[in-house]
Amino acid sequence: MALIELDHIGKTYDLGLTQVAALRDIHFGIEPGEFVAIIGQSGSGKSTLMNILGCLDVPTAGRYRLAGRDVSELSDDELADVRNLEIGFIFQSFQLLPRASALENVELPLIYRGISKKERRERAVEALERVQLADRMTHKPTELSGGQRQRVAIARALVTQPSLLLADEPTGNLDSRTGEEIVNLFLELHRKGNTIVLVTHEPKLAARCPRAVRIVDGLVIADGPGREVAMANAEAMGAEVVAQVLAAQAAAEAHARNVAP
Amino acid sequence: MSDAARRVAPALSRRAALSAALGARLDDLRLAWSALSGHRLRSGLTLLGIVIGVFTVVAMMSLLNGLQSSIDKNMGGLGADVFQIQKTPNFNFGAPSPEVQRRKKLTLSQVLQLRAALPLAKQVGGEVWEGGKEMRAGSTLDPGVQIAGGTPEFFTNNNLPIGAGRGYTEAEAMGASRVVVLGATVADVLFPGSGAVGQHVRLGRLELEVIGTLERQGGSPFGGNPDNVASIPIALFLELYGTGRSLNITVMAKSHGDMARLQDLAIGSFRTVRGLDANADNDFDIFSNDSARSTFDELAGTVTAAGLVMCAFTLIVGGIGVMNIMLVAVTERTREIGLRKALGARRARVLMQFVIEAVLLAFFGGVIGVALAFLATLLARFLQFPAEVPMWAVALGLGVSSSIGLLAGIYPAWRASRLVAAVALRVE
Repeated sequence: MALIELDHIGKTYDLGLTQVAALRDIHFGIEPGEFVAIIGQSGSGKSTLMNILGCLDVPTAGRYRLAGRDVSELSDDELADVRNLEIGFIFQSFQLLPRASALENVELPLIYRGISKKERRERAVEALERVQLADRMTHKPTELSGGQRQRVAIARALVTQPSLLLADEPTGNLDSRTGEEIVNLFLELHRKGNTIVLVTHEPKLAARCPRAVRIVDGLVIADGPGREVAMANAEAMGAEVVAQVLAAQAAAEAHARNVAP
Repeated sequence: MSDAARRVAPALSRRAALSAALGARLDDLRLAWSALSGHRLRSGLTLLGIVIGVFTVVAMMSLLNGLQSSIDKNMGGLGADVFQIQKTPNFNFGAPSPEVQRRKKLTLSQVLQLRAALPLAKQVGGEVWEGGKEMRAGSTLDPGVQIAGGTPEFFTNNNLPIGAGRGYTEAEAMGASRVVVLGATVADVLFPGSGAVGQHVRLGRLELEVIGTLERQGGSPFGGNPDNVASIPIALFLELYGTGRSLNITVMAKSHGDMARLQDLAIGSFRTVRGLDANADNDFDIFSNDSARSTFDELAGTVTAAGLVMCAFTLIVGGIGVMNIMLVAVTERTREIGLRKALGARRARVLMQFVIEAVLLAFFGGVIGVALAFLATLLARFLQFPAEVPMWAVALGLGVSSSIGLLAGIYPAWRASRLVAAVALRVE
C-alpha cells in the first residue's frame, strides 16, 4: 500500500472577487521508503502541495490518504495529531526555538505526544547522536553553525519516528558545502528506510533524488528519476535564461544608442 | 520501526491520563518560565500595576489588622465588663457639636449618686485625668506624667493591677490623702534601680507618699503610654486642679452577659441623677471596649472599602498591562506558535501555554506585592506601629493577581491558538 496517495487533489484559494487555483488535479503516490523531490518555481504550487502533504492544510478537491488514513477533511486538532504522529518537518529557516538548547528543541514534538520527561530526554539524545551532534546537545541554536542547526532540526524531525520526513528547501539557507552535507545525510536516512519528500526549486538538488516530481502552474508535468526530471527542468529553465539575457542585451544597446551623442 | 510501538498507547487508564495532564501542565509551566525569564525587564515593568495593587491591599490589611488586634488589648484601657459614662463621645470627627458642648460636666456627687442607684453593678467608680504634669523625687524630674484622680475602683476598672504596695482606700480617695500610685515608667524615671514604695514625690506644691506601683503594661499603639501614669485620690485631684473638669464614671458588671442590661439600667438611673425630662436626649455618652471596637470596625470598614476600590482600579490597569504584553508576545512569537502547531500542538495546548504564562506573570506580581507588604509591615513595627499581615490577605493578594492574569491572558492566548500553522511559519 502506498504511504501517500494524492487522489486528484485540487486547492483553490477564494480571494473574494477572484478564485486562484494553486493546485489542479495533482495525482500521484509515494511508496514507503521512497526519496522524492518536488521541484517547481515559486508560484508553481509546490508550497501549497507541501502544506497539504504535511497536513498543515487540507485540499479543496480530491482525497489525500496518508498511511492509509483519509486526512482530507480533518479538523485543526486532528491534523495536529496526524502531524505529530506521522510527519517530521525540516524547514529552510530551521525553525529552532532560540532560547532552548539543542536537546530541548529536539524534545519539543515529544512534549505534544505526552511522553514523560525521562523518555523524551533519552529519545532526543538518541536522535542527536544519529545526526552526529552528541557533543553539541546543550548548545543554543545561536552557538551552532548553520549546518549544525539544520541537523538539530533533522534530529527533531527524526525523534518522533515519523512515517514521512518532509523537507522544505532544507539547503536554502546553507552554503554549498554544508548543503552537500545535509543532502548526504538525507541520502543516508533514505538508505536506512526513511520516506523523504524534499521540496525545492533547485534542479541540482532534485537530480540527487531517486525520484522527482515537477510542478508547474499547479499541475504535475514530469514524474520520474530525479536526474531526468531535473535535466528537463534545466533545459526549460535554460531557454528562459537565454531569452532573459537576450532581452537584457537588447535593452542595454537601446540605452547606449539613446545616450550616445 | 514498528508502527504499533510508536503510537501513543491507545487506552490510557484514568490515572495515567491524569498524570499525563499534570505532566503537560508542568511542561507548560517550564515553557512559560523560560519565556518570561527571557524578558526579565519587560516582565518586571509589566507587573508594576499588579505589584502596586497587591502591595497596597495587603499592606493596608496588615495595618488595619494590627490595629484591630491591638485594640482588644489596649484601646480605652477599660477592664473587662466595664463601661464608662462620660460627657462627650469618645470618637469625634471634627469639633463636638454645640449640643455636646452645652452639656453639663459630670461631678463627684453624681458618681456617688449613681453608685447608690446601681446595686446590681459589681462596682462604680469615678475618675478624672490631667496630662503632662511635672513630678519630682529629690532632684530627679519626670516632666510629663499623666495624672489620674480616682476612687479605689480605678485600678480594676481600668485594668491597671497593682504591682507592688497597695492602692488607695475609699477613705483616702474621699479624704484627699497625700498618697500616690506610680505607673512603671514613672517609677523607673524617679527611682531608678530602687523600690518606689515608701518613697516620697512632689507634685506641684504637695509632697505625696508612694503607696504602690502598677504592673508594667507595655506600649500602646495609640502613642499613649499606660505606664506613664500616676494615680492619686480623686478628692486630692480636685483640690490640686480644681473642680472644673468633667469626671468619667466607670461601671463594672458582675458578668459579661450582664453588660447590656446594666448599661440600660445605668442610663435610666443616670438620667434621673442628671434630672432629665422624659423626652429629653441623654446629655452624656456611654463608652465601652465593645463600642470602641464597633466604632473602629465601622471606620476600618470604610477605609477598607475605599482602599479596595482604589486597588481594583490599580489591578485593572495592571491587568491591561499583562494583556498588552501577552498580545505583544503572541505577535513576536507567531513563528514559534506556527512551529509548535506544526509539531503537533493542539489549539487547547497553545491556549493553555499562553494562559499559564499570563497567570504565572501576574502571580509573580502578586508575590512581589505581598513581599513588599511584609517589608512595609516590618518597617511599621520598627516605627512602633502595630501591623500584622493576615494570612487571608496574602491568599487574597495572590488569588486576585492570578485571576487577573487568567482574565488578561485568555484573549491573547485565544488569538495564538487560532493562528494557522502554515501561515504563522512563514511570518518573518
